[in-house]
Amino acid sequence: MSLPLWAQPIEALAPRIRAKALSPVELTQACLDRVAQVDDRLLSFICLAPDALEQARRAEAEIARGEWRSPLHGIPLGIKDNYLTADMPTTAGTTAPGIAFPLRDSAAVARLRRAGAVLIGKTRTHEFAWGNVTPPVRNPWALDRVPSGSSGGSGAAVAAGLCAAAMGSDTGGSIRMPAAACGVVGLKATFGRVSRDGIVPHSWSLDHAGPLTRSVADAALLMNVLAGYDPADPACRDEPVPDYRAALDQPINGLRLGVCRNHFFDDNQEDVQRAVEAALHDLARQGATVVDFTIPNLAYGLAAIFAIELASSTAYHDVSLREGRVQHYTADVRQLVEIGRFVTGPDYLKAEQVRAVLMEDFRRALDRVDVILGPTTPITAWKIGEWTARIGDRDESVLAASWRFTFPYNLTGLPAISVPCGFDRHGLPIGLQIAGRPFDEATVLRVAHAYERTHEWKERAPAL
Amino acid sequence: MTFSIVAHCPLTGQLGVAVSTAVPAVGSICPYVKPGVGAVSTQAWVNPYLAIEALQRMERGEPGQAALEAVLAGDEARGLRQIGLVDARGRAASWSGELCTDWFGHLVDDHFAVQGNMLVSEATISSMAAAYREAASRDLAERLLLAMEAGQAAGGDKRGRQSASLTVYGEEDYALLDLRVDEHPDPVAELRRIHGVARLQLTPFVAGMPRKKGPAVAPPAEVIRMLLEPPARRPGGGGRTPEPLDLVRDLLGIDLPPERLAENLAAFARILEEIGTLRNLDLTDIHPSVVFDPTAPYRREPHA
Repeated sequence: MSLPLWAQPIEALAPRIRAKALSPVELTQACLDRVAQVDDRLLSFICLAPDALEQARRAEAEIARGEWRSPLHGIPLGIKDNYLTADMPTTAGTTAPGIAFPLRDSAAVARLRRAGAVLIGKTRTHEFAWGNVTPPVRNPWALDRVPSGSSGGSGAAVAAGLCAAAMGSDTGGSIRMPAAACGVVGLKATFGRVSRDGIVPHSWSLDHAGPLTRSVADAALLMNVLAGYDPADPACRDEPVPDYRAALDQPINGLRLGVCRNHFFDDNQEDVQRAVEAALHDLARQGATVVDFTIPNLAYGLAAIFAIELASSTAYHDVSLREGRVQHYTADVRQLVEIGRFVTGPDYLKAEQVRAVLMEDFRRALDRVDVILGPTTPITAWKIGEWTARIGDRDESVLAASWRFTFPYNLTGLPAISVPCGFDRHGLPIGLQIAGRPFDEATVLRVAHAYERTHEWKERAPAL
Repeated sequence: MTFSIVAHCPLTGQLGVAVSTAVPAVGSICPYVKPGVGAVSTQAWVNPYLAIEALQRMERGEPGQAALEAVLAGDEARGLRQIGLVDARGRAASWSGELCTDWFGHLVDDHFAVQGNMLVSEATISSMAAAYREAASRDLAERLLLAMEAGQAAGGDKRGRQSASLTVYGEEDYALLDLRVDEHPDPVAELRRIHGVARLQLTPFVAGMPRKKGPAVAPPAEVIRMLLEPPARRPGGGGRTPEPLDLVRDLLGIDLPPERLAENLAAFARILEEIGTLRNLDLTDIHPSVVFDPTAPYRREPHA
């Protein structure tokens, strides 16, 4: 293996750690060195664990004693800074005075620790996970561009090899958008699959947890640890947890790949459209059938998620609003939190009705197909400070465009992954989104893996 | 140029004057009241000293009619004057000089007198008298107002309308009620509106003011509480009419400065365009995806 340690996927590192051929301390040090080398440019970490090497030494000692815990044992990970951690402060990306979060482990962090992972630091989030830019983080593929967001720190850190994988959270696309923009894999599991206990809420019925990784297999390895029932998250469901890694290598011939031809294909940058059509072609060549369909009610999706997300977020920030703390929020987030008051009760419930309609529409589609594919975002990473992106011959607001294809799966709660599917003319990564039936992450991962194997996108690393 | 009523309430001893005209600030020119003495309205080509001197005479014990005759005797221009008065025993009198402008005249009864000049017709004062008599069971301020409303409805000042006032005194040296509409297109109606607000917000306060006989006390706590509220929040409302932006602020439950609210409304406009599409949808038969689950608290068992 010629790749440096920090650039290798977990699936390559884990067997060698287990075999004691690779020291978690050496691996963690490689990541920390990498952080020291490039993160003054990326700014992806807000905080590093002072005991990262100590955690690695503990893992090494346990493995030496034959107490290997899981493929994550000794693997350096980053944690989005809206996950509570017992040993590192949580800011949720805010510097507003009077807002403090407890020092305790969120459910996902506790699971990762039990699996033996080395948690090397907290990655930056857009303030309160409300936004798609994640300042001041930069995109490793082009430092003058955004990593997208809100899990932009996790996307940039994983893409740049600062950690083997990182946790993200996703309310309208906040795992998948930065995964696409940074050229990594991002999986938003089914609503209720991964506990959100201890993640700072954004919108209770839209928030999802999940990993950002360098490969689909790595996403499966993290899901093996993260998935499972947790009564502390009222939305968490007690559903069987399969071995996600074991299901990956099955062939996809005979699978029906759905393509929703409206909404997801209406307004894409030319390079994005071309890359996604090529990916569909590649998958069809593996014996899968492509089935086109439409879901006209997606025309109401943006209205529905606006109403639900704004109203929920404003309810969560109610005390900060009343006590004036929002004046210390960044301008964009402050305004979103304030204007949530304009959403009326009937608007909110009609949005929940539209949501039920869309859930039913997607169920009907998923009766006929096994997964639904399309672009993750219509645009690649845009320049920092720009608020519009070029699509064809016109400029569109990045705020409106970036989450257009991701939010339908927050409304429907379906599992959805973004996997790299090439680069645009500027050398910026493009994401392919694959969604599936509720709690069928296995099939989503399997199709993503089948696609990933046919390309070498994941071997490419940003030049930093 | 004016119509007025002066009255004495035999039940309470209150004295009052109500007057309206098509000149500004009639309340500063015509009515004079001295508690325990009498009430006067001096009008037409006004000589204030007629009212001042008549009250001095009544205070010395002269009956109303005698006081009126005495003061007029000293006024060379009495032909231009109109004056109505009532003393503290309810003895009323009125004078309408022959040089007043038509229609002019007066009507004197026990405990009150109505008088007017430059009126549309005699109907104004006869309607005032009838309304006043009919409302015998009401308090003096209300009776005076009813009389003024009846007078206005019957024609009033033939030039139009401009100001009105209502003054009532009880036993104290300060007025129980002294309301002025100094310049208004419909002054009697406005006087009625102001009285509606004052009755709820001012009268309870005046009722708690110190008295000649008795210790000085603080106003009742509930009155203080009420008056500490902005007018719009008190019974009867009033004060500055809340503007649409104020109502939006109340509706939103957050107090933003107007310019920030305007910015937010502008930012929301695009989102509202989207949400507007929901408002136009017929989803009657769709159960929202929010499903109430009463068993949720019972499911919080640790996973086995």
